[in-house]
Amino acid sequence: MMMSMCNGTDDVREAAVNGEGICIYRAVDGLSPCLHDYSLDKAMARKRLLIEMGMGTDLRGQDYTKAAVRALKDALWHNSVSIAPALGYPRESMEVDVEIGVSDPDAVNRQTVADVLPYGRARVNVVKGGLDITNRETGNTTVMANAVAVVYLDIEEQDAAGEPA
Amino acid sequence: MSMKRIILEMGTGNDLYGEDYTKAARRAVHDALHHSSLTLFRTVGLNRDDMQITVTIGVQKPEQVDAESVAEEVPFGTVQVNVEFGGLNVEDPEADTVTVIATVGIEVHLDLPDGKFTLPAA
Repeated sequence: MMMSMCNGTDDVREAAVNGEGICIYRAVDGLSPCLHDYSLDKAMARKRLLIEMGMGTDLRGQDYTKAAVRALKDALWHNSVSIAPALGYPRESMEVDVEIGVSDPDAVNRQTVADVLPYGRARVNVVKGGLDITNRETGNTTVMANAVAVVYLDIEEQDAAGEPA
Repeated sequence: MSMKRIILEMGTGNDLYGEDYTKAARRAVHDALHHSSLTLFRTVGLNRDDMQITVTIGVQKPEQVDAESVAEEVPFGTVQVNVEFGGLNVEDPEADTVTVIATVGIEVHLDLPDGKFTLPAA
């Protein structure tokens, strides 16, 4: 099983396209290590269960990481998700792909963003997006970040006889 | 039947000048619903209309909320609306205006038979 270390947005996309490992930036105790051996095939077997959306800002500091963290918190803390336990899985088995949009993606510390997640495995991808608004009089720039958290579970459906469908 | 709660969606909505508690409540429901998308119905092959949805509104004047109107904000499933005392009003005595803030919790329950879904064999 191939594994690769990804350092940027393009690396993650390339890794996925090439069927190489996809970065998992954070793991919970007792689960897979940070570099999880997800091949593309495995990633495609995952079921996409939920999307959470949010927006965050940094009003004066032009801190894109802070805006991204707030956007992700806005997305996550509008919902209390109990899909995993309802289906009979531990919450920690959730895999969360975080997509952040800001106008300066390189300025975002992805580890800090990943650390927002209370459990599950996180993969953080930052793309160009969001919005910057500059005050013409003062020159101050307010930054807005968009965040999406896509929640996956690796599951199999059983038929009536208890066999995988 | 094994009804399980799959998500609690939370939101707030306001009516700034009209003191319309129903409008604030509808906006709160809209806010709560549109911060997430339950994609599992498509990916796992479940029916959205099987959802049992309990909407609980908190406003300062519960008796002024039209529960049926609030229920119309929910696009799928069987909806029950409860209205309680809660939320928050902001009064401006100088301008003689009241801003109404409604808060909402939307609980989604679904019948998920035990053992229907399992982790794949390692």
